[in-house]
Amino acid sequence: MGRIKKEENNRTTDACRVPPGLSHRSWFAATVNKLKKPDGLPDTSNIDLGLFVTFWVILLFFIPLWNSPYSFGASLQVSQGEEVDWNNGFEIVTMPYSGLNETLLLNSTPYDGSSIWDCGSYFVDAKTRSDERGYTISISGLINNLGFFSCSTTTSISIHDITELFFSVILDGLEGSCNVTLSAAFSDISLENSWSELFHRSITSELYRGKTLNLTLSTPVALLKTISPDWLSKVDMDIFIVGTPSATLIIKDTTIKAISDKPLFPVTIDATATTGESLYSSYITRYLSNPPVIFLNRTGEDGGPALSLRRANYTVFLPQGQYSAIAGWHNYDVLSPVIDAQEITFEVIPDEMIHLRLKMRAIRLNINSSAPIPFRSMLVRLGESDDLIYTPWRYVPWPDHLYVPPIQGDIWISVYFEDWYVQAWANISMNHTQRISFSSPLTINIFGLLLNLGQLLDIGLVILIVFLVIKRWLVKTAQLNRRALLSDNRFVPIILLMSSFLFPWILYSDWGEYLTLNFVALPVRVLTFQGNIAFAVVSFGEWIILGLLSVVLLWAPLIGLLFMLSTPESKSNSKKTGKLLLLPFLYSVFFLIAVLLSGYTLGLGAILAMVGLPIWLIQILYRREIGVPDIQLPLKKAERGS
Amino acid sequence: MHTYFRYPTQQQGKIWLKRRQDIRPSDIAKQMRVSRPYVSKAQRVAEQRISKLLKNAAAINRISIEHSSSKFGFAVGYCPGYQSISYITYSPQFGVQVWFDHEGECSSCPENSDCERTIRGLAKEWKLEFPSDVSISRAASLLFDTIMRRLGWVE
Repeated sequence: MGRIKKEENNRTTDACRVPPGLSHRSWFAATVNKLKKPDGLPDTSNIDLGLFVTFWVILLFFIPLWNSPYSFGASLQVSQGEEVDWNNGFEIVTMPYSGLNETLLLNSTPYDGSSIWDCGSYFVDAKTRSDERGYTISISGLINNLGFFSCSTTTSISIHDITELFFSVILDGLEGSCNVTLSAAFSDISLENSWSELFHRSITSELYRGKTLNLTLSTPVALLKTISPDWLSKVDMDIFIVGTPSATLIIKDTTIKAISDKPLFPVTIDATATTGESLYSSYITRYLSNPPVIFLNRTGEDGGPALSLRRANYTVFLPQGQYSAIAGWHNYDVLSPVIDAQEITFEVIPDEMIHLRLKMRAIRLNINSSAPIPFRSMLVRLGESDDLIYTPWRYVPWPDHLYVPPIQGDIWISVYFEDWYVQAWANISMNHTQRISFSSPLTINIFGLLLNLGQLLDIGLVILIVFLVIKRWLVKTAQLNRRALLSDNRFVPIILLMSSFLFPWILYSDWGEYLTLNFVALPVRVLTFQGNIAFAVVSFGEWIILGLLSVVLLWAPLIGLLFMLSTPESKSNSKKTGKLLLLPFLYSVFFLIAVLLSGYTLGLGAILAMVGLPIWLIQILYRREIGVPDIQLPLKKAERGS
Repeated sequence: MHTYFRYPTQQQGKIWLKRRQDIRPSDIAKQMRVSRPYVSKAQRVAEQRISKLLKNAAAINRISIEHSSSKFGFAVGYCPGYQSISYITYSPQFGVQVWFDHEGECSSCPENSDCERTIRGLAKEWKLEFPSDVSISRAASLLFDTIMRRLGWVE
């Protein structure tokens, strides 16, 4: 290695990169601070930090408003209606029927996904179609390993009269492959919860393209007779379909076949209001916590098992005999199990089927909404009774009416959507001549986006902040040359990052046919139904944790990168650019991992945020390879001369 | 007059630097697993590009070049605007840098650490020992003086 000899250096003094005559500080003050600001834009250089602080102070100030229940706006109107028949009762119609020792308790051929069945997808995008071939299901998911499609139905079986019981389903595989599980779960008919399960059996097989699968499940009836507390037992039949990553299949046929010592005859029970209208004219009756019920007693048998009537024309197969029953609204109270009870007797005789039509007292509640959007749950409190909950715990369409038991007193109604709900209260003494309407004009519909007043205020505030940030950015970048801007390595990643805000990051379907699109960077959630937007809602409450992360890992890097565009790209600031792009990259990778673990589907937004950093690195490496120098953003022509 | 210029590619830069350190083209070809003619061509293209880069930097800073060597990535000239001798250096690591002959206020300058890193790097590329007991601007002048002596531009 050579040596720099100080004693030989006689000619030069020092060498510096800053021009002579000016210190760095004075040069900066003499030039940069004298630059003329673009016309029409105020100098806002001192508001950058203050802007963020103000933003979050206001945000935190308004959080209580966002989280508060939006009770204002909704109302109950009571008006006097016409006198209607208020006498309950029942009617028995018999028809000829040839009873056999081999009975099809359920026969859906072809399977039509009717109201008998409750079908839905969970963490997976599924499309369904019914035609003459059967019930076609297409399951798909981009990155998804936990999603499934399920169809289930509930029926009641006279277990003491049966010797053999078979469940079967026939399916055809059209595309891809999937695993199909057929299961049957027997439970105590008097209880409606998961702890009531007595016995469970299932069978699983693989279905693939071109294969016809016939799954049959036989059950140990002798065992069930010993463990079932009643002569009637409730059974849940489920078909689970798990496709990875996608599959299309047809459910062609589903049956429950019973073999008995003596013939069984169908008894079909239907519940109507005293006006004659079916209580199931509103689909939501099936989700009511206190549904119409019939406690069925048989001569010679102990106990009176309760049949919850969750659908019209509920059919149970019974042997010949004398039966008595108490019908009404289920109250789940030992002392008073039935609201508005009525006693019924009927006899099942050979070669006849029975149609039992119950006329029940019920109050019809009309429900109006300025925005009839899908909701998650509805709660009705009547007088001193327990809450009546219409809760499928998934999104269901807005009903135009519902039936409630004939209980006198005050009425409370709450409708739950996302993390917000509407509720209204009326102090009334209800009777059957009154017409009660529940209105919820809480929301303002702006291009499909549902907002209330509080949210409008908050959004206005956010828009103001964003406007100020954009204005500041325009001031900073006004002197940039457009062509140089386009060739800046940071430009494409910034555009990708901005685009990621406009696309959903995760997609999920929490049971049902509604698909939720979650925009992580914005407090917006969009619900779609078979590809169409059902509603979009601004939901601050659930977003707040995600929002804090998004501000730190998305908004702050984006704003930082935008302001960095105003300075030329150089080696010294490339590290900072890399760090700012790394944050959204890590955030999106976090979502990728979460998606893989949870079974959600990764949205385009997360992918766009993820590719920003790799694209930036590739651009740098490519330009270095072809020898393009670090981009120096030149000024516009007008600025060059000055 | 507008002139189109580009930096040497990463590989061209490596080859150019090795040649400047007097490594034989055949050894460079072996080390980099390329052909001998490729080394010559890369060296030629790199020198053409560096020559344009040096001229461009001089034009931007209104420096009239007295001596220039694209082989060594170094030029010296005079800047009438600042009435100062000026140096232009090229390095694959630090790109093109312009230096003015005057005593800088290194102790109060925010660019001090960046300058030190650059001067240390240039000294390393030239295989010269960096004097640690002087200011950065002084070290820079010593380095450029030594380079000019090596190139035979001064006695």
